[in-house]
Amino acid sequence: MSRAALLLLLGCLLPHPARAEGKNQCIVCHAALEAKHKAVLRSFQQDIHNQKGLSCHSCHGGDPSKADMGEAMSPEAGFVGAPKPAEVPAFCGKCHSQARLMKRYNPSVPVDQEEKYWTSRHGERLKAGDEKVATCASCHTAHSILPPKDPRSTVYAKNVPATCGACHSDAKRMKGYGLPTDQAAKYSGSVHGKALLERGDSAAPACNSCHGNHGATPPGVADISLTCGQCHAGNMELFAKSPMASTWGKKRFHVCATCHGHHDISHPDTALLDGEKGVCRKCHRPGDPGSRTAEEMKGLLDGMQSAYEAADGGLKAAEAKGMDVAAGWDALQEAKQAFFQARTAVHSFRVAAVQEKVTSGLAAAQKAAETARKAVWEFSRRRIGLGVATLLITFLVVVLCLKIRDLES
Amino acid sequence: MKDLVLSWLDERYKLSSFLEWARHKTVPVHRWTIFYYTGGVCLFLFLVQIATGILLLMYYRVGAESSYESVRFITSQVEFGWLMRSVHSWAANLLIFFVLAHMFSIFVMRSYRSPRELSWVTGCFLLGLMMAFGFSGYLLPWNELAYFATKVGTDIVGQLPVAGGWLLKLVRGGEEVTGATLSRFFGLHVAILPAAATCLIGVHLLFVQVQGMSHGEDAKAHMPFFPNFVLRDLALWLVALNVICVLAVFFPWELGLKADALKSAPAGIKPEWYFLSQYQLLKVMPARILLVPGELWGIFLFGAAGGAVLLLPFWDSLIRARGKERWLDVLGWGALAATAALTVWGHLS
Amino acid sequence: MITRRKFLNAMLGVGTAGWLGSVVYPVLRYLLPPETTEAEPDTLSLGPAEQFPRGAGKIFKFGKRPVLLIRTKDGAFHALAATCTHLDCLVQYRDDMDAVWCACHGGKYDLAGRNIAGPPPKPLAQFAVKVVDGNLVLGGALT
Repeated sequence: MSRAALLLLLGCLLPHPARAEGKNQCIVCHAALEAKHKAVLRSFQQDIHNQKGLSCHSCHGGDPSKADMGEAMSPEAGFVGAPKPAEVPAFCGKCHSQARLMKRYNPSVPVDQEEKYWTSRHGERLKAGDEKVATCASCHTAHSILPPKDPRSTVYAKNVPATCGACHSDAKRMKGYGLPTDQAAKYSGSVHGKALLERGDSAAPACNSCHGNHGATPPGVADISLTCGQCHAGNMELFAKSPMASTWGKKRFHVCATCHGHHDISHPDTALLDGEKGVCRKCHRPGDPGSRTAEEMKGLLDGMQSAYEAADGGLKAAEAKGMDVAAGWDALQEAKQAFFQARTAVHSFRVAAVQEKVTSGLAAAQKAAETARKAVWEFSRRRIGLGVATLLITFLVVVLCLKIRDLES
Repeated sequence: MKDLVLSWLDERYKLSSFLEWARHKTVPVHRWTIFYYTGGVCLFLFLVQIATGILLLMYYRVGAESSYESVRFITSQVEFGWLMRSVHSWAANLLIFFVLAHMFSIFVMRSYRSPRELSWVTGCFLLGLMMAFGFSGYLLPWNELAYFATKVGTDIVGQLPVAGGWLLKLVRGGEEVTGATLSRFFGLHVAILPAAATCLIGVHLLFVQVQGMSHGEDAKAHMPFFPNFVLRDLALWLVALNVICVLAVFFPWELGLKADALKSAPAGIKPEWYFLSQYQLLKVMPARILLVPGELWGIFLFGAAGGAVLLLPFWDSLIRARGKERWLDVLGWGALAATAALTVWGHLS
Repeated sequence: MITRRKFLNAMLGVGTAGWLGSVVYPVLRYLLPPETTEAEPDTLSLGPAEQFPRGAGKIFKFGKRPVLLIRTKDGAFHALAATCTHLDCLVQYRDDMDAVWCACHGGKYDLAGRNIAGPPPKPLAQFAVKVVDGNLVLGGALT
């Protein structure tokens, strides 16, 4: 018998003043135990289940009114103890899969988590007897479960990459599954990772946004465009209508990932369209019509980018001279909009579509640059004007002084 | 033709007597004659303020939603709008500076003494009006700096015992600095203060005309007011105009960001230089002296100093009667040095 | 023979004229209103209301802000700020969704501008829109 159990036994057999009637006897006893048990009690304080009025016996069964350990934790009292990994989904599901029961706590909470879980790769493997896979408690913790909107929660958007990474970045744990372990690292350097983790944009996708949460599974070839299209709807629509869509379908290419990658998706730049080193080279040879289209689109976008940067620099220079170029910034914002749209138009693989957006963007960028040029010109005009006015006034002052001398001589 | 018009006017308005008066008016020439020009420069700067102020009113639209936008419109869209605004701001600062210089020169010359006590008193009130102009005008662009400077400045009023809370509400037009405060300050800045200042300047000048320039009797030489002194005045005004234009072009007044009550105050927020000494005094006062809040002592201190300056011509004779003329110099220069030191301290901290 | 005094007086005249010019010119230019006559327009007239197609949206510049004017199938007008509150893309009215939609990341707003789906963290500002004598008039921001 372990020392803990012995202590537990002693603590519950002896009469104790702290054991007043009506108190939750689970807590009374476990609070007197070693640090590990105390920590469970402490973390359960903020657990959502505790906040909703549930207690130990709600999940573990038993009778908390009985001071006697044997009575309180007897199978007759419904005591089930701690579930084994394979039992966890059903353990949580005994409440969370009950629509009628869950309605009492939150009428809009879903009740399909367990069902989804069994469709996930985790669930499939668990069923096959692999007890190393993630179950409910692996992500949600066992006794400090918080709702996903709570920033302290392990499943709060910003904390998800670390939560998944706890297992998926662990090479020892992943050995034997043939899975890479660099997803979390790749993700945190990606455009999505930076948006979520660095910029704090809680709308940016975390692991679960693409893989699902309870039904976590890698998106299949056919679904990936739908997955990305959840947010990048414009790009997906254009691609689906483009001549590229059917060819890619035949070749079984990952629609978005072929060019953009997946975990390490970076902010796309025109290098993707480069005739020599770009992604198009995966199929197209330099000089063929596809490569030419890519080069043309790249030329348009690069031209637009440099026009944007030139206008931006011009406005900053004008502002550094103390000129107010608010109108220029407005025009540049307009150019930025067109630039977004031009980049999106790339997914139609039609030069004309890109050209159309670039033309309107260039016009706006030129307007901004013109404002900057005018402001700089105005800046020097003010000094020339001042010079002329100063000369005129100084001339009058000199004549006045001469006049005074003349009067007084 | 010219003679015809002149005689027509003369018949009706006794123009010749005015010209006669102008011909006979003289300005004493002595080593302090240069001080006489400080008053003229103040008058010129005031006229510049009236002119540019009226021009700014053509586009300015008061209101929490429109003040900042309209000032931005003036400085960025209206031709020469930047010039009008910068001239108005620069001339305002120079005006306060020259009023102070004028005042101190009068002190050095002891020109405030009998029979010119009321010229001094009206002058002191004019300084107060100019500072009120500065304080109210500072808020009108409704930018971040102005908003917080006004908040801090009006807070001081709230510190006063008994009537503080009531006065604060009166000044702000509510509990907080809002669009209501802006409306109040605008009314004060473009209607009440200009009317009051114009009347007081009239009275101030009338006193000078009735009593003549000071030190007239001890001066060995005199120069005719017209045209000799007037031409000199004009030349100086033109130089002042040039200086203002150079300042406006090379150091244009910034507009900054729009006021936002929900934002925290930007770091290093400070009032205009002419309020800096008072501000610094309040800042360095200990929290409590003899159970009375330090800020109250500060307010009392500069209230007392202001009162002493205002009533200078009346208590000055007591010192003179004891033959302690030097005390006055020590007091005057000491006060100037202390104010300057506080201002520099406030600027650096 | 021009005397010294006459010459000085003539120069005084020239100088005064020059000074007057350097003061009057900026003042006159200042008083001439610039092309955009107001800092922030109060209203924007958009032509006959009946000519605006039903079930469509169009972006107008209101001052410097782009505003999306929407006419639903039943003929009602709505006006919303047209820049998405997520990353500043221009939003569009989607008749098929009966909602305002942002193509960049699929953000959705209802016709009152409330963010109802996707990444937008805040609602779109609403603008007043009225039909005055058959003409469509856009007014200031409501929120």
